[in-house]
Amino acid sequence: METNNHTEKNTDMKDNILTKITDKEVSMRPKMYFTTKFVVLCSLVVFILLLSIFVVSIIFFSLRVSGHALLFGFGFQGVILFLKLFPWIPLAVDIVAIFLLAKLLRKFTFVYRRPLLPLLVLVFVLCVGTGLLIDRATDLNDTLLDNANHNKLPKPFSSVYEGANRLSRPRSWVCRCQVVSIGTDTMIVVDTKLGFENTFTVFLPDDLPVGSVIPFSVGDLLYIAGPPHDGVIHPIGIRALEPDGQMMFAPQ
Amino acid sequence: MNVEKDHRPDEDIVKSIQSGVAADFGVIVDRYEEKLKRYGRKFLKDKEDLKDMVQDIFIRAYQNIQSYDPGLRFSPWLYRIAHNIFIDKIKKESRSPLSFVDFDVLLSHPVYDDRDKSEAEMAEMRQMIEHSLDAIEPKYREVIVLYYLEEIPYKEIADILSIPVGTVGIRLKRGRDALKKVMDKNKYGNE
Repeated sequence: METNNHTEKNTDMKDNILTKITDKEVSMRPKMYFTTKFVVLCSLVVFILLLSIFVVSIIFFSLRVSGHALLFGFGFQGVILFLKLFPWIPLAVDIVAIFLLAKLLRKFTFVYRRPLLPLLVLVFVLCVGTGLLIDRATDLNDTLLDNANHNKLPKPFSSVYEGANRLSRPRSWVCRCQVVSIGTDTMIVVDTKLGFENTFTVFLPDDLPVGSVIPFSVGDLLYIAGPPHDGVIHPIGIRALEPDGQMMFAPQ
Repeated sequence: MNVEKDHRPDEDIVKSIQSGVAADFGVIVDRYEEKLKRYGRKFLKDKEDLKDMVQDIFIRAYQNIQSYDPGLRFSPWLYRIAHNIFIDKIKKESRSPLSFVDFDVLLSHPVYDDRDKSEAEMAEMRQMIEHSLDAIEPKYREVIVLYYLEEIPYKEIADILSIPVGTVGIRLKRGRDALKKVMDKNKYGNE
């Protein structure tokens, strides 16, 4: 009896499905649909990978042109300041992109058969390595920034590069200043962006050996970190920048 | 065509469907309807609409049949569709959605396949499944159903669930342990 019921149910479902197929209520998707889907998936993977590499290279570029990478040489306070000034939003965007990329890659058989963590690490290393290489080994970012400054770069890229190059305001504890005069233990500097309205007297760092010659000259561009108070800065660190405003990697 | 006496392998039948012989899809329905119902009955806590869900599985399979590569085994492909439909159902009904990151797939696990289990062990396992399967997590429940009831090998389960083979092994082990715990709890609770 039960077997009969089974067969009846079975026939019900089979007939129902075959009727839907015959009546064209249900139809096969053509091969082209799946080929297109595969191509779109591959393109999306490549796009997200490139986007992720681009974002990483922008992070490195922003740290380089703003000079914030120098904060690592300014002791514990410098590291704290670096963490405060780090472009966390692009990093968050990149982490989301990497997760999305890993999720998309897992649609491919050769990927899901392997554990996820090594894949995430591999994608992360690939993005960070390539992003760093693009920023440090090529002048792509500098050229694009130059184009953005001359209105030759379309939005949103121009906004990204202008944002990366934006100078920190003096109240944020860092400034990129030009030396206008030098005293025995102080310097007068002017914020290069805000001009003479933001002139600071900078006391030389305590770690400078007593009696040593101030290692800067009038006209030098400096990256100064320290709390500004009534036009006076007691810096936690100072580093010279190259004349074009880029940071020098060698300590002064 | 009398589908009851069709002895062709699934893969040949699907090739024929792909080339336009839609009636052959009836053979596939005949072969897999009960299996998929059993899979759903054991995997899902809520068995309502199971018949409709199994019909959806076949309809989705037919719609996507051109994406199937006849060079590969057909059953994991079909079970993969079933898995997706059942998971959607669990997600819809669960108040606590399935976690975004599955820690089981993060790291590699050694693959230990206990293919040489004794008949007594299998019988014990079937008894545990019969009594306590509903009490364990869906991700463990599913591998246990696929391995012990559907007798699908590790590699194919890995393809159905899109997870590494090692993860199948670790889920089976954890699922068995969870089943044993539930059985022990019930046993001592009744004493």
